[in-house]
Order: sequence, then C-alpha cells, then structure tokens
Amino acid sequence: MNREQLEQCINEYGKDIYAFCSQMTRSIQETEDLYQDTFLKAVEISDKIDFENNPKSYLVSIALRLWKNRKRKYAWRARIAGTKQLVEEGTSEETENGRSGQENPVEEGYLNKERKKQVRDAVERLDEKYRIPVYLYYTLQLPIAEIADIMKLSNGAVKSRLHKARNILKQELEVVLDEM
Amino acid sequence: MKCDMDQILQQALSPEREPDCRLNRQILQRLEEAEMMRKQNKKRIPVVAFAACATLLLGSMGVFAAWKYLTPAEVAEGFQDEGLSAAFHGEDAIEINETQEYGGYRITLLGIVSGKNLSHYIGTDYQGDIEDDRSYVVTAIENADGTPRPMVSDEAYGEDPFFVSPLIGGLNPWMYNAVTLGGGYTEYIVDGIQYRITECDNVEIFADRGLYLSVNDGVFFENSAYHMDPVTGVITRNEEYSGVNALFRLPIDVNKANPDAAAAYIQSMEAENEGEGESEENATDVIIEEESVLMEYDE
Repeated sequence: MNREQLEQCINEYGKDIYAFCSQMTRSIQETEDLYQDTFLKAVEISDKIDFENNPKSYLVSIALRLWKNRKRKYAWRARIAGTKQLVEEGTSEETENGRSGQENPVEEGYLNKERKKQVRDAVERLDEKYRIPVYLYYTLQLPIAEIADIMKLSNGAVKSRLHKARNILKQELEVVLDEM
Repeated sequence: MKCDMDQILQQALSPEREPDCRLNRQILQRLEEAEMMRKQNKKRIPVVAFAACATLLLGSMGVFAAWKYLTPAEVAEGFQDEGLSAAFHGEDAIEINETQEYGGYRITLLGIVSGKNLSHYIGTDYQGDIEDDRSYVVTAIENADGTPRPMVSDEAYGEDPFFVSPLIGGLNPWMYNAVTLGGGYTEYIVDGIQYRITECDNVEIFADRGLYLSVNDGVFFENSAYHMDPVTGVITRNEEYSGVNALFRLPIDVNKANPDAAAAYIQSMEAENEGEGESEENATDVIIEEESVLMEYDE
C-alpha cells in the first residue's frame, strides 16, 4: 500500500475505525495507539487485503486482533505523562491535557446525554462475546454476515449473541426504558 | 420494544468522536519514516567497507565488553526498585551479556531473573488480580553508528520503537508474547544507551520447551520477522526481514519447567481467546436460539 492508498483508506474508514477503537479501549491514548497501529498493520499486510472487496471489514478485524492481544494489560510505567481519560459529554472543557479527537455537534433526540451514558455503560459491562458484536452492529452498522466473518462465527451465532445482548440490556436498563 | 431498543442502542452507540488531522498525519509520517529508514540502512554501510563490516551486516552475535553497560541490578536501581535490584544480585539471576546487531541497531541482552514478589512495584492484571510471579528481562539498545538514543523527554523519543518479548518454543508467538503474557516495560536512557526492563508472567514453567527473547522494530510483535517450525517448535529469525529482528536463547534451567502449570496456563489462555468460533458445549444452545431469532434481524 502506498501513501495515496493509505490516505484514501484513512479518509474513507478512519472515522469508523476510530469509533470502534474508542469503544474497545478505555482512554484517548489507547484509542489513538490502537487506531494508528491498525492502519500501520494494514500497510504491512496490504498485499493480503483486497481493496476492491470491503477493506473496512479487514481493518476492523485487524483492530479487533490487536486489541485482543493487548487486553491483558500491556502496562506502561515509562516516564511519560499519564493517560488521558476519555472525556464524558459536557465535561470536555475540564480535560487536563487538552483533547484529541473532535466531537461532533451534540444532537438533540429523545435519548439525552445522561441516558446515552447509562446505555453505553451497560453495554461496556457486557461480556466481551456480546459486547463486540453489539459495537460492530450498532456503532459500525455492519451487516450480520460481515460481523460473522470478522468474528469467525456463523450468522446464526451472531444473531444469537445480539439477541442475548439485547435481553441482558433490556433487564439492566429497565428503569431507563420505563422513563422514556 | 424491539424497535425502541434498536433505536436506543443506535443512538447511544453511534460514533461521537473523529480522529483529528494530527493523528492521521502521524500515521502517514510513520509510514514515510519506516520507508526512509529502510533506504538509509541500506546506504549506511559503504561498499569500500563491506568486507570489514560483513559480519555486522549479517548480524553479529557476540559478547561485547560487559563493562560498557549497566548491570541488570544497576538498571533496576535506576528505577528505585531495590527489590528487583537485589534479585539481580541473587543466585537465581542469569547474567547473559549477548549482543546482536541488525538494521542499524545494537541489541544486548543483559540478564533475566524470575520469581515471586521480586519487584518493589506491584502490578495487577486486567481483572485486578496482583501479578506476583514474574520474569524480568533487561536489554540495552544502541544506535550502531554510535549516536545517542533520544532521551524520553526528546521529541524524537518513540519514533523508532522496539518490541521486546519472551517467546516460547512450540507456542505461536503471535499468541504468546509479552502482550498476551501480561507484560509491561519501563525504560530510560543513560549515556545514549536505552535500557529497558521487560516483565511478564513467569516463563520458567515453560523452560523445557525452549525459551527465547525477541527484539523487533515496531510497537508490537512482528510476525514476519520470525519463523516457528510447526514440527519442532523451534523459533528462528527470518533472514529476509529487512528491519530489526534479534533473537536470543534464554538459558533457563530446564529443571525449572513445570509442565502441569504450563498446561494450565495454556488452557486458560485458550479459554480467554475463545469467542472466535463456537465451542461444542454451547453449539446446541446456539442452534435452538437460531431457530427462534433467525427472522428477527434484517441482514
């Protein structure tokens, strides 16, 4: 992959890959690291990627693989400034070290910020095998078949996990849903 | 309720942040620097000096003057880790002092020590459990041309990162490396030399399988830099790899191996990685669920 192709990849899929990385990680630093490493790894194995045939799925697969390998806590104790935490909505002006990542304008809808946070927190508490397909389906809006391909599952297994995830969330968010 | 739940999840989980230009420029910059480094390394050795430097080009293995480097105990002292420093003075520590040179860098494996509660610093895994039985490896990285490594506070620090990792014979290095073995590292620069202490779960239990230490360029294990023989499990360098791919044997006493503990560790690792495929025990549940929810989602 040359520079132009990489630029094109970033332009087309960067936002989605960043969104996925920020859902999987716990800080801006980790999000940025995972995001950068995903594209750099894609460059390394670019001869194996068919850019005519849905490169976004490949990029998501790479990000997921890299994240899984890191999730057993690759601890940084180097003499570098502390990790910046992902900023909660409405508190961005309180960030210590400035921000990375731009926020989109807040959208008004019947789901206000507080409810969104409650829903996101509930999703974050899901077991990984439910959480990942939820992010892939709702954040990246990938079809079932692509999720199945990325997670090496059958279409039925993906649907099953999404179904279970929804049931768990329905129970957890019962109070939230009743107030809407 | 299903429609509401879908809408709720879509609204709550839709992307709210974008990568900024700085981040994307860094990716392009790292790509250019990697390409430039490959070109510079090839130009670095003049043709006239080729014969004299032939062994260096191919990668030299040797025991450089030990006096040149801090000892592993001194490196640990530099981090105010008196416990680890004492461990490196103890009889379980192995001082190695082996140097290899690839891709314009000189990598020296200084030593290793393993055991429980050695370090002054207590680490925890991602579940919050204390990690007390660890292996600690100390390495020194230098620029082969003698220029000093950038200090941690320098802007250039981190522009040419390295990944240092124990590897286990017979176990896929992509799956068993410093990251997945609960690893971490600390480092600092002294006299232009980059000293790093890499720690991970105690690898002595795998001593009978053959233990290695890999050092490759980049922030993560580089699969293309190494081979593992699928029959013998022996890990070797890929001679065609153009970057840095040092590989050392860790001379750990095979009597320290614990096959039962090793098997249990592998089993827990495999269980943790499950989820990229269905296990037999829940396949039946999945089939039953499939029939009831198959029509529920639009593809």
